[in-house]
Amino acid sequence: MNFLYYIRIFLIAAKSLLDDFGRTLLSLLGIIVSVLAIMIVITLGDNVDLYIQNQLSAFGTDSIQIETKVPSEDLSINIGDASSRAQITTLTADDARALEKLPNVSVSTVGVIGQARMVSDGESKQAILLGSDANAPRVDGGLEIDRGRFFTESESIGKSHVLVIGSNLSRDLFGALNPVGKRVRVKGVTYRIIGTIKERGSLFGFNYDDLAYIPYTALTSEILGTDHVQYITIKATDDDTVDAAVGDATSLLRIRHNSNGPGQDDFMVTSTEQAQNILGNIVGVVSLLLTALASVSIIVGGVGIMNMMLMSVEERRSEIGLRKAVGSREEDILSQFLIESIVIALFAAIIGIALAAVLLWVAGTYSVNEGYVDSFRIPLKAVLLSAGFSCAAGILFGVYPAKIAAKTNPVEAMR
Amino acid sequence: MTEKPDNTSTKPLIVCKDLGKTFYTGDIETHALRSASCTIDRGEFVSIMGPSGSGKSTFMHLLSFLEEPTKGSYHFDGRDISTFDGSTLAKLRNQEIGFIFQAFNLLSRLSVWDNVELPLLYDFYTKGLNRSKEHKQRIKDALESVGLSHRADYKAQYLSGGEKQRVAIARALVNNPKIIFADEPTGNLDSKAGLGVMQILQELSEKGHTIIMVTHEHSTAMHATRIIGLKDGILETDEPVENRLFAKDEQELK
Repeated sequence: MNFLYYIRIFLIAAKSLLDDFGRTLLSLLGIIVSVLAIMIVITLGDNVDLYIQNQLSAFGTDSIQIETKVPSEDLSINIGDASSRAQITTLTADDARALEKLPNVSVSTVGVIGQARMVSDGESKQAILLGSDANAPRVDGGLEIDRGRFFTESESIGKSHVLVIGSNLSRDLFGALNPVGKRVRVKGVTYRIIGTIKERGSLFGFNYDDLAYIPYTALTSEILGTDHVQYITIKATDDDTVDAAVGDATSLLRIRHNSNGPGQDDFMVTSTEQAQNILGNIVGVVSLLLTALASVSIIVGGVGIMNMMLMSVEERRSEIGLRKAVGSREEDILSQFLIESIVIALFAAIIGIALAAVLLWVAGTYSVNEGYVDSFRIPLKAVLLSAGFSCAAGILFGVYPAKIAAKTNPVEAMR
Repeated sequence: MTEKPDNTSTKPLIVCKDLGKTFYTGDIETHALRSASCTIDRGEFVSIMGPSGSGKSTFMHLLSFLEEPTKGSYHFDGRDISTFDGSTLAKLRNQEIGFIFQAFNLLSRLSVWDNVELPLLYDFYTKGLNRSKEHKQRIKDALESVGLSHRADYKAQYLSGGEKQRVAIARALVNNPKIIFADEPTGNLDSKAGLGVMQILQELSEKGHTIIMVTHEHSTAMHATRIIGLKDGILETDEPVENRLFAKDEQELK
């Protein structure tokens, strides 16, 4: 024969194969999309959780945060109404010093947050001021000095006009020059820059490189006009004493603040682990809900499989009849078609997982490169769960067609 | 060659009395088979004859456990099959009978070998270490007995009609059945190929195989040793064949 003839025949064959493949793929589209959705939801949930855990771990697992709260309000950290919390003026630096004397507590530091415009020679910048004390570098493991030094205890309690600034702020105000020793004006008062902080990045969207550390006494009395602090961070003596330290701190503050119990507390003591649990639970619930929603969509996909299997049973009636004639029992036919529908469902799952992996990998790599997150992973449970769900759909929606196949009357089927 | 059937037992293979089958479609009753009684011994080659609608196919379906009778009794090899459930009947079909159909009913995508192997796939009853070795030997023997050993790897769809029916015969032989049922085995074949199939059936019969063949053509029926005639669902005639035809002496199937 001639070459052209075989090419033509090949094209006809390839076309009919692809036609069939297209039909198969269409029937599987539902499962593929559902698997895609499950993969994405679980992976995103997992990565958000991972992100939160990592961010909180930066504070150190032995650190404990004490914040103000409105009595009887039991909302957790960072979620309560900030404006009503701001009215609580009872937390003081004296509290911090008292806490530091507790046996399970190694060190404490205070925190007050304010904002002010900073003016250098020719440059001006709105900056976040973080009022703190000399203990801050000991409490906050992520706080490292790049140039110069942090302020001393006498500076922190003595309203000294000194600043330790973040790398972005340094660049904005002084360009490439060494800022140590330079002066800036804050609310008309001259401050001396005594140090810079190593580049640190963001924590929960709060960029440490944009802020300036200032002795809390200077911030409260001269800029904000108050005499209380917004939070105290303490460190337990080690990881094992965290719970004890939380208890001790709570008891001590209740005495100092005349509180008889949780309903009267105007403060809230939260360890890093507790915060991780609370936020982890929130993320877990949200991601569970979304996963459940995505899983419901697999039912739609299952109907696609059922449709396809019913067509297959109809097309292969004569084959089924023959198999029964030569001795296959109902259960043999049933298992054969059930296995086929499971294999098809798993095939769809593999396509869905592969698509999701590509999409997530692109998105994850982009997010890591852009610095939105430190790391990105596709959890195994996403793969297992979506494969498991489609397998279940294959069984659930394969049973009916398989039963029809099994019940086929061989005489009628072979007619 | 395939094993010779065990015909040592003297009791009849098939005994049926007043066998009947009525189909119900909604309110409509169809009496496909009204009454058939007969006894068939081992080694017989029986033609079931009759015009279409006479109930001959239904009779064969009842005898071959493809359908269950609605009246009468049927003893196969001494056993009352009315007491058997679906799985036991499937086992009987798998172990004790072979089928040849008018339309061949091969799985066209599969090879000749795989088609012949099909009944053995559902042989859940033969135990032992040599099972798969024994199965292979049986497929080889069955293909050899129909002269198709050289076509084992061919896809069924590329065979001629006569070859297809020979594959079907090999498939019917592969489980070494007590009886072979052939439903219009030459119906879809030209006369030459049909003759070839009849010749194989007669050879099998000579070796001792019991064969029951349904046909509506008298000349085909004449190759058997006995003809059972049905009309309007009733077994009317049951006579031995005089002037039997022998396929190996003929030029074509009339």
